[in-house]
Amino acid sequence: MIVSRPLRSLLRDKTLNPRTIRSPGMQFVFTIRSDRAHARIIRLEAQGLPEGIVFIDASALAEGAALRIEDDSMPILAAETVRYVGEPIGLLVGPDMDALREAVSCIRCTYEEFPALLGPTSGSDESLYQEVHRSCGDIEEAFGSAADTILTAVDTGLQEHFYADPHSAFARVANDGCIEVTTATQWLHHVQQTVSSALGQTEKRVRVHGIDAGPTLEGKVWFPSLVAAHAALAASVTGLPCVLAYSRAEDLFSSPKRPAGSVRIRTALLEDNSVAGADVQIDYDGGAYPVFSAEMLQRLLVAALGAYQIPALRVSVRCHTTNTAPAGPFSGMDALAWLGAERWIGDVAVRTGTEPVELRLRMLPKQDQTLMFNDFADAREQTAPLLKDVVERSDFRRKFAAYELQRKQRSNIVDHPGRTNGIGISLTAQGSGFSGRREDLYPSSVTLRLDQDGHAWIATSARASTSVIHGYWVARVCDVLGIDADTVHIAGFDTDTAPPSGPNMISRVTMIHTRLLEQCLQAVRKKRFQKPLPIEITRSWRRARKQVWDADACTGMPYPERSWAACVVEVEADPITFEARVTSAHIVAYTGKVIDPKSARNSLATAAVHAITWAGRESALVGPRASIARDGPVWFSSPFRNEPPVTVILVEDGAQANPLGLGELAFSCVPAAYASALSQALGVSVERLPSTAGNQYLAAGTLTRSAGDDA
Amino acid sequence: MPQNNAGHAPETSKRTSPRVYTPRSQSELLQLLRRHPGSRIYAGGTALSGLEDTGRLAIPATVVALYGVDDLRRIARTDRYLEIGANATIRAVSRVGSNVIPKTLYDCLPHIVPPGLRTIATLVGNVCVQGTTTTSVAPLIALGSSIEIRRVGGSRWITVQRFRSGEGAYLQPGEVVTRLRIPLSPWDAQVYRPSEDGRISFAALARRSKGGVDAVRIVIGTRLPEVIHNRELDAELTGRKLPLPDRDIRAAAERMRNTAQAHDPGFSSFDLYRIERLVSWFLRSLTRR
Amino acid sequence: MRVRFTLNGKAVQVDAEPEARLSDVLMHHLEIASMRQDCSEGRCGSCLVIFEGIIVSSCMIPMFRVLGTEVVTIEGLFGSRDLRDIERGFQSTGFEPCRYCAAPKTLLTHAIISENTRPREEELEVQAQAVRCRCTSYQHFLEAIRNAAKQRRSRTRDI
Repeated sequence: MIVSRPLRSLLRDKTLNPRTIRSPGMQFVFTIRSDRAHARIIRLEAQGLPEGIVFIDASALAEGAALRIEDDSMPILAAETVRYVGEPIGLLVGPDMDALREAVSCIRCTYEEFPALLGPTSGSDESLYQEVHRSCGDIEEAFGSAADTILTAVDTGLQEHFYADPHSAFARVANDGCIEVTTATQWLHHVQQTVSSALGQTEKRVRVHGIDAGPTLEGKVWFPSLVAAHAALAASVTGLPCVLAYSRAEDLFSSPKRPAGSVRIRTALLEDNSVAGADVQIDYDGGAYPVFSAEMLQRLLVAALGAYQIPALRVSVRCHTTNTAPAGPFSGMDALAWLGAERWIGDVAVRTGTEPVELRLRMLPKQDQTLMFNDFADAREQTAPLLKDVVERSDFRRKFAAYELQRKQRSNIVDHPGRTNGIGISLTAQGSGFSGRREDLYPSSVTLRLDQDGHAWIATSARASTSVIHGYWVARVCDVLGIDADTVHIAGFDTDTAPPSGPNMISRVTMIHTRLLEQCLQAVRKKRFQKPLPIEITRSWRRARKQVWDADACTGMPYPERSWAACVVEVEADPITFEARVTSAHIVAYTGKVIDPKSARNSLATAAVHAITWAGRESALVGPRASIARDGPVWFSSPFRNEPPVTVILVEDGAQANPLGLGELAFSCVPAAYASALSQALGVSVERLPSTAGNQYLAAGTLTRSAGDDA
Repeated sequence: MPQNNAGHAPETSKRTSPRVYTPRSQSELLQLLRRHPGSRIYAGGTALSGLEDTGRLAIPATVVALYGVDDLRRIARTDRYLEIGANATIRAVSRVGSNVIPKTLYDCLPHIVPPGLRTIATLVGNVCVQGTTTTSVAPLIALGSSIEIRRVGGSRWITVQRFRSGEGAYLQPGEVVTRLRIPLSPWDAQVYRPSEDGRISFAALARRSKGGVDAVRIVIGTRLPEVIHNRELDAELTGRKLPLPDRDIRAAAERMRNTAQAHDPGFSSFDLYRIERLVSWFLRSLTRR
Repeated sequence: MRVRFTLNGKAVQVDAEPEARLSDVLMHHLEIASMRQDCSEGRCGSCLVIFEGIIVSSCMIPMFRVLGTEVVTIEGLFGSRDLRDIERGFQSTGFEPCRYCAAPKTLLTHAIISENTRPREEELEVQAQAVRCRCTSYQHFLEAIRNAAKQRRSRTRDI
């Protein structure tokens, strides 16, 4: 049961919004950006600025100021070198936005331009930022004994997060001299750290009021810290309240995206068509300043061959740094690896003439056998039933056979008169929480206080993207303590009230904080009639001892929890226009305890629609000089056009008393199933996502036309 | 020089507030246009903004707004025509219904503007905005639609095709488009297919009689202000017996492709391929019907 | 220019430039808390209002056009039975929009079902795309509108 927030209270929400806030003496902030992809700043100056307008550059920052995430860091304002088009180099501050826009012409920046890397370099390590390699089994022998080899290739483009509200921040100097910042963020205390770093203040001197970021697809994990630091710097320099609010155009142009990436898998096949080994290379472009790179590499490595077991495997995962905008996490941090793995097994099925479901079941680990790069022993136990369920519900086997027959009977897709169909299947897992010891870098905690007046307060900086989790928390407090819902409160989302809990991503709130609250509740219940009120209990997250993850050996449990899903997607393609439409999608998932089935199903179905738009058409385009193209297809294309019916089945078992997280599942399984379905419908291997009509034409064109034809 | 927030050089010219006239009748409208010949017509106003969030719309210096002229909202139907006033919104037009509005136009209506603007954007405005022809212009030209242009003391009708082709027919100072007239000829086959990437749209009509093709019109909307319309091809297909031989279909499709290539050398091979395939698909569908 | 108009049933006047966007004036001059502006070109539906009885993106309405008109934002529905119908409809669907799109989606639903408590599916499918926030799926929103319409019919005995 959950306690849901009535619509009327949502509509009357008076949360402070930087975009609409107006306060006496308030100044606007306008970001000045580099128009070079890679250059040294020789001189940056403001000439003839109108009265009342202030120009701020990196010299106003405290020494050593930077935005830091683990070992990754980036300048808050570029001082010496610019590394991508759009990189902030200065701020204009003034009372009128129009005047600020006009004052841009007063800013002069002279550069010494350097060669720019606009994508990962192939054949050299020039763009390499970080890499990890692992292997198991004898890969050389596997290829030495191979009767045949297969090459699987998948490339993906940049993708926009499309959160509900463009980035914005409001900052002011409070009466006590502290800096107060308001912004929508998924990581309250990172804003505090970054603003502290920018101003050279202790963290206690910086107060952050967070605004629920809504559904973000992880687009507001770290970038709000940069925007907030700019607003805070302006407020600190001018002593006046300052607001920095990006328009949607500026947001699209300058905010981080899902990184573009590629997967190449070389497979050694024996004479009996069994797989002897595979060599996997995964590359992604982290842009000028990669963030969460260690976590991304780890997750991509663990998911490198999906849920499948083969005798020998070698994996190399590389993060590149180039002169493009920073690209960071997206919902489905390891989706690239899952996409590669599922396309790989699809290729093996095609080459060996094996039915795709049979092949998947055959290649899952045996009962109680662990996967190659982790000790999860539940792969077969969890996934085989999901696969069988989704196959049955979607009538996969019959449709696959029928569409396969149609594909073989077509002489050429280009001359085919009618629409063609395809169906694809995929399997995926979501690791909830950070990998290995990294959870310890972002300690999570929840405080529960029961006051003398009978009111209960939950304090945490964890905020879920939907109200369901909070509704569940309130309901649990009501159930366990026997109090009314209107006496249960979730304390303020600000650094004074809420203890740090790391970023709200990869289902950490659902999985970790829900458990912490449960621990708090049980502790309060035990003490309730033994100790005087108020009772305040804080519980912090520690990974279980048995969950030790050895990142070097790739043994142990990489994540605190893992959920699974199997998916079938059916598409209809039009050989005349090469446009494709998803006609149905089925997802069967095991996500542990389901808090609110209806809401969970809707959430997964919505994520599936987003994943279809990513796979099908929605990619941010890189324009001239490696900046994000302003007129690319991401500009409010309707995500709802031709939205297919999505059937979601959630499988529960009595053994799991906790929710395991589901936010990323659709992003990891839907694109792979889509690509397989489209490959069948068009009779060509779809290797590039988003698979736009133009891309499909190019792929099909290799059948009939000469290479080099443009689309 | 650094870029501004959205990557464009800012406008530095000083602003002056626009002067807006809101006539209540057609005669007042025409008088105002005569007095202010350099003014711009404001109908739905949905083609005004850019991406910049400036808090203001880019309104020209002198504007004559049509929204107060009620009789320009009128949508009238006769046996032969559907007449749509310059103030009739896309939503109002679509509510006339699919049993009255020719299918090729009706299918196009949801694609003209975002749903939140259908209630103010006008169909005549869409015809008048110089830009792409991927929306209503292609079907309207295929249907043989005309527009009424009025000024003080006179009016004239010209076809939408001529209006958009710029053969001396663009609005002269003091003139305004007041009505759109769409012939309600019976068509046996009507198609409107926009491409997902917005680069082309395909509008086609055909009428059959006695086992043959009585009339054919094939018009391609593009990102340029003019459509692709090979009238000679339409004429050659007219009067042909059905089914059309496959080689003739291929030849017709190839001719359209060549016309398109000459129209816009910037077309990609994919654009040309789509045009060729859409033409042959449509002609084959006549046989199947 | 001084613009007088009716906002949520009350006469208001505001000094604004003729080319100012209605959304901007509602947000900053009249402090309408529900008002948001996002894409600034009428695509996203964040700034929907009911303008002269029709639902429209207010970022594309210049203030000169607002003179003497009637504008309704979600605040104009507070405490009304109409809003209660929608709330019940959403609740029975399990439809929970996010805090960014709750107001435009509610107002859009109100506009659709006030005009016709039995909206044609074809019309509904076009209109429902007016708000492009991605917090919920489109199919789920359609279902919520249908259920809100059902609530409205049942209250007004239009069964």
